[in-house]
Amino acid sequence: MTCNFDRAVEIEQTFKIADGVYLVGSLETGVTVYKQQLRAHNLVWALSVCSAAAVPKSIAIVGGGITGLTVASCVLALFPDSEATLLEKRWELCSLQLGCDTRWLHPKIYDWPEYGSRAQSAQLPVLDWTAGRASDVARNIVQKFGAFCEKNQARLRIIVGLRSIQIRASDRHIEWMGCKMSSDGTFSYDNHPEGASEKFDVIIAAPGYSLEANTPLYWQNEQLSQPVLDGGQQNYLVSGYGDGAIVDLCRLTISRFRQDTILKDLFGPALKETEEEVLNALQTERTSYHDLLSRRLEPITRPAAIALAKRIRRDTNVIMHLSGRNANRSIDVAFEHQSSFLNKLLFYLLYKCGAFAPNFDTLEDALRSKGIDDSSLVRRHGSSPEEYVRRLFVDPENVEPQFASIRHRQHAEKLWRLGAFPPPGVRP
Amino acid sequence: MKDKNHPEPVPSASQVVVLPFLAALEGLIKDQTTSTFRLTMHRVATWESQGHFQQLCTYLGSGPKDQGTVGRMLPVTTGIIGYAFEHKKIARTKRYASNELLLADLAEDMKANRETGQPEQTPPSYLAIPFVGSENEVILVLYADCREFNFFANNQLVNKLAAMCRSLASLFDWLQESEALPTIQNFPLEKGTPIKSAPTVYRRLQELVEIPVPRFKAVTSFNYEIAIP
Repeated sequence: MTCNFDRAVEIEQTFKIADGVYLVGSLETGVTVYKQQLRAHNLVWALSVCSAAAVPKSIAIVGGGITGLTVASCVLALFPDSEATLLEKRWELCSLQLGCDTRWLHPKIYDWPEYGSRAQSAQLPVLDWTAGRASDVARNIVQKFGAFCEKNQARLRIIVGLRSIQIRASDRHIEWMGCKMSSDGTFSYDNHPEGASEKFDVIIAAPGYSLEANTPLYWQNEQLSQPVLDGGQQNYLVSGYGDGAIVDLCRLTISRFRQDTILKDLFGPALKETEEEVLNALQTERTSYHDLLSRRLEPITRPAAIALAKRIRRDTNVIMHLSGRNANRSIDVAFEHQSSFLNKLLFYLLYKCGAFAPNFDTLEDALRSKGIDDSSLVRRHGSSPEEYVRRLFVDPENVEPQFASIRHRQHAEKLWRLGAFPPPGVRP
Repeated sequence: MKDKNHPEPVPSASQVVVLPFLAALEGLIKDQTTSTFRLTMHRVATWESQGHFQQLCTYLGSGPKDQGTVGRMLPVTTGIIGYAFEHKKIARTKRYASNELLLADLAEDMKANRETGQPEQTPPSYLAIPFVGSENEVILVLYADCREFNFFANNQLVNKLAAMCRSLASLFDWLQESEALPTIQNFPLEKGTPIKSAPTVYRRLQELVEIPVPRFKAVTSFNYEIAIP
């Protein structure tokens, strides 16, 4: 028990930005849906252990994306006597992924070659899901959230379509103007917006990230992976070198690319042995990723590049713009970034295949010199989550000092006590 | 207050690939006894780098089916399945000359395990069959209990059940190697160090049996999921 308590206190501190105010995931890097859900489980479990002596009566969850819904469901599961309020600025829950048919979500593939990373299901006790199109995953998650709503409707409020929200961290006070959504699991809208102003015992902010600027959003449906239908060749410029950029590079350059099958396509029956070899190399080598892929793993990457070369799309011509914020001048920058190893590997193989042309000009120069217009620009520069989070608060000076101490400290591992989360309607 | 052990999820495909086999065993056992009995399968799953048993599917047998216990995690030292795990051998309740003698031993075993229940309430017959991997690690354990006295002391029955389990292991090896059903795949689980607590096997009651255990050649963990080929 003491062990659980100590661990819970340690976890709680990694989310705390003010007394009773917590932030989930927004300041982390290498974020995936699954990792955000792990953090949500960890935080709510930690809070339930830390606050056992003084259980909060009212808990507000800010953000109705997958992370927010996971936090809300975990709260409903572990705080059976507390009231929960979920606040979402858009009109739908999980709105980023809902209706997104062009993105594939996989719980753990970015952890490859770790054991279990290819498993299709998240295997989470709360809002579990299986790999699929983002729209299907979102639907599945909203449906499962509905089961928690149905069993707890008397103590859950859902407010959507927020016209304004202001959080004051100093006394855990939130003012909002928004519409009530039914909390019985049907998610129907109530009539008209109304304003409210309330103090909460606990506020958990799960706002995600601000949307990218000046680009088709990552979660917006587009046709990058669809063959060019008029039989011609289309030029594209992908700007960035994080996971989002590399995935779009793969979609634009690899024929029939799918994130969930590419490893099998590349390594076939030798996938398991390849996985062990790569894992072993990652654990034992202390060299750069570029060096690792080109030397130590050359027996693996060379045949994979040969296989991949046969699948390079002929209907696209892709320029990879890599200069970034720091005016980079080398392809190595893509290997130093905190992108997943899987994407580094794919980037390396595509490089070896000559599947794209690297470019280190300024973005404006690159677009101009290559004659590429905005419709063929895929800008994956990420967003500015810190500023976004800061703007949620009317008193940012009360939360901002904590940002440095929680940044990159929210472990994306299963840290809650085994068997802690009951199914909907069962007391913990 | 004791912390509750709520289930952790098990993929539906992992459940469904063993349920028909257990249903066949259920039919076989029903043909042999009118007493109540249960059977299920546990897999070894990892949590924070530590290996646990995880109940893979519902209990089948004479009682109603219930998903409520599916996914619960147990230390690998739990009861007779822990005994089978430790020794990588089939474990069962040994033959007794009388029910009184069994109850006397059971009372002693329960006392040793600090259990507070009544020996008469406990099934008099248990069986656990481990499925062992190529690195001599236990991957699955079949669990069965029965209210009929000396039920699993019947060598003929245990031989038959073990033979069926061996065939199942060989089928899973073939499925894995041939990829004959590409939309259902066994995705490897993380490897972990087995988490142990005080063994809760009834040491006086249970015995190890020298019958060949089912062995996997290709299967290294048990995590079947729906996949896109």
